[in-house]
Amino acid sequence: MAVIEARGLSKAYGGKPAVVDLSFRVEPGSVTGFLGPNGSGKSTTMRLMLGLDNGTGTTTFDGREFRELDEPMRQVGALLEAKPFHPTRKARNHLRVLAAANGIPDSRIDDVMELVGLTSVSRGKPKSFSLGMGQRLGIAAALLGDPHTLILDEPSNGLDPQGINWLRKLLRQLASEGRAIFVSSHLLSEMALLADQLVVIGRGHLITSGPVAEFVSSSTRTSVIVRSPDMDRLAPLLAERGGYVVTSPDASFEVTGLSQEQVGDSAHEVGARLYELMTRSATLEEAFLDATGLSEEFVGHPRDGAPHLAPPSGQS
Amino acid sequence: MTAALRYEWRRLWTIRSTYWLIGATLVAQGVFCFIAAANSPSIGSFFDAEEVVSAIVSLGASYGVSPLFSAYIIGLIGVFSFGHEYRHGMIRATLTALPSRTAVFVAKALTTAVLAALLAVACALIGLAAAALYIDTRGALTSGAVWGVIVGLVLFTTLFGLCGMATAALLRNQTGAVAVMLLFPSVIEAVVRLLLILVSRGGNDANMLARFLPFDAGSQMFARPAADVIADVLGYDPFGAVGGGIVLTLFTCVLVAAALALFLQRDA
Repeated sequence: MAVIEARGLSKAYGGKPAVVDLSFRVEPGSVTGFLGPNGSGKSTTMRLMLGLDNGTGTTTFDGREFRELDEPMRQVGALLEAKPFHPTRKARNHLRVLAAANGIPDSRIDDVMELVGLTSVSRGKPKSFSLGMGQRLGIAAALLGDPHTLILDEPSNGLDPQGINWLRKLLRQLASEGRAIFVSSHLLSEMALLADQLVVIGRGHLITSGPVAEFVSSSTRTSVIVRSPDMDRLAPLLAERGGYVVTSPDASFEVTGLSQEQVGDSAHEVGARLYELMTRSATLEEAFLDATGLSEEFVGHPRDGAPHLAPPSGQS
Repeated sequence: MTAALRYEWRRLWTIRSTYWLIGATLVAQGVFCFIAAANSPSIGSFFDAEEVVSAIVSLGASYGVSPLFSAYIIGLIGVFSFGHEYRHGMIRATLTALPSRTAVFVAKALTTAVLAALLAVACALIGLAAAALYIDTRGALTSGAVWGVIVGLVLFTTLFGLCGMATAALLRNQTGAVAVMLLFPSVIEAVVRLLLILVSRGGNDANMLARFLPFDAGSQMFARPAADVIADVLGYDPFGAVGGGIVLTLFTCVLVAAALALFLQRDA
């Protein structure tokens, strides 16, 4: 059972901070999603954890830093970028090279090639691989040492829907075996299905970490839908108790800032009839956008007004 | 360290470039040596057997009429040892398999040096075989003078390979490192030496500096023209085999040390 513990990770490029005093834990037996907008420092953080970038802070895997691990691939498997292999070295040989460094028998190579579905092309050259096949080979390399910890940076990049489904099942299964899985992705719908825990960062700072359900329920976009003919009595009390009430197009009301129980109790107190009372949970995407709204590194701006189109040639 | 050596050894033998570089080196050496031996000048009052055999083994480099051809091809093995890591984004995969950067670097240096030395010996043996086949060697094949040249060119090639490796590690760019290793010893040093000779106008100061051009100095380990001839023709007095070897060795040590220091310090 491995615990990843990152403490005070920091890194700056040319004086510009990329990761700032980042600390979090990844527990064994769970998939921990690593979320953040583009340029928020996710990949840098993963490289810092593995000692690939020089920064400050420490990351331990069961109490030991990565550089202290003997045969590290047997303990921590990593996928950090798409297609990290020589284009003309056969896929199987790529894994043989990595295996040689970690005392892993060649028989294990056949196992992981089968696991990722690349057996039929194991003697092929990666230069002919699609991005998805390259990702599968990278995942095979990460799994080569049968490690108790996986660190995967955008592993679903380039995978088709079947591939994403396969990856989700694989990671869930590995987590159920007690391994610690730390995975970044920009596919929030996928992360909602995959992750148990989240670490969310923005501009290199930790925004939040904890269970996915907690993160989603804390979003301001989680609301209580109320339908009542007595809203004129109920609404002032809800506002007094910190709720924010808006009218929905279907004549129901949406209350944020209060729980379903609090709204129900308030209705009871003022004798308001309730025809409908339900909680509408925010999606992970909404919660993520709420949490990182001010942390986007790269923001596009819509053009003002209608797009200007040049008249067709021959017209003035 | 053993793990890093295992990794590097398997890395070396699972890419095509290792095979075609070795093949190209041996084939080119064989073809040129046999052509040279078949057309070598008669041994007599002007050329003695040791000079002719040395010239065949080094393909003219012992006479300073050409660069040491085989070293340039073998040097690419050194360049590729780090060049492939950066060109194909392998360096992070390498360092997640082998977190000790020092071990990775030393393993690359050792394999480069050993392979370069073995190939240089093989090239020399091909040259000796060609000489034995076509000319009356008069015992030159076992003479100390010829084997002195062979030791010199093996050392030069080994140091050249290490310089290639270090250059690729410093630049983190395979194409740039290949260009530097092809141009610096053969063109840039020649131009700098010429400029120093011209600037000195017969004085000694600039000429003295020319003696420290590393690959030119290192080539004195296998070059055998009389020193006074070089002094007359080029206007400077190079170090001898030992002095030149020391200059190239020190240069290589500085280059390798700088590459290691930056490799330890830089982000992967």
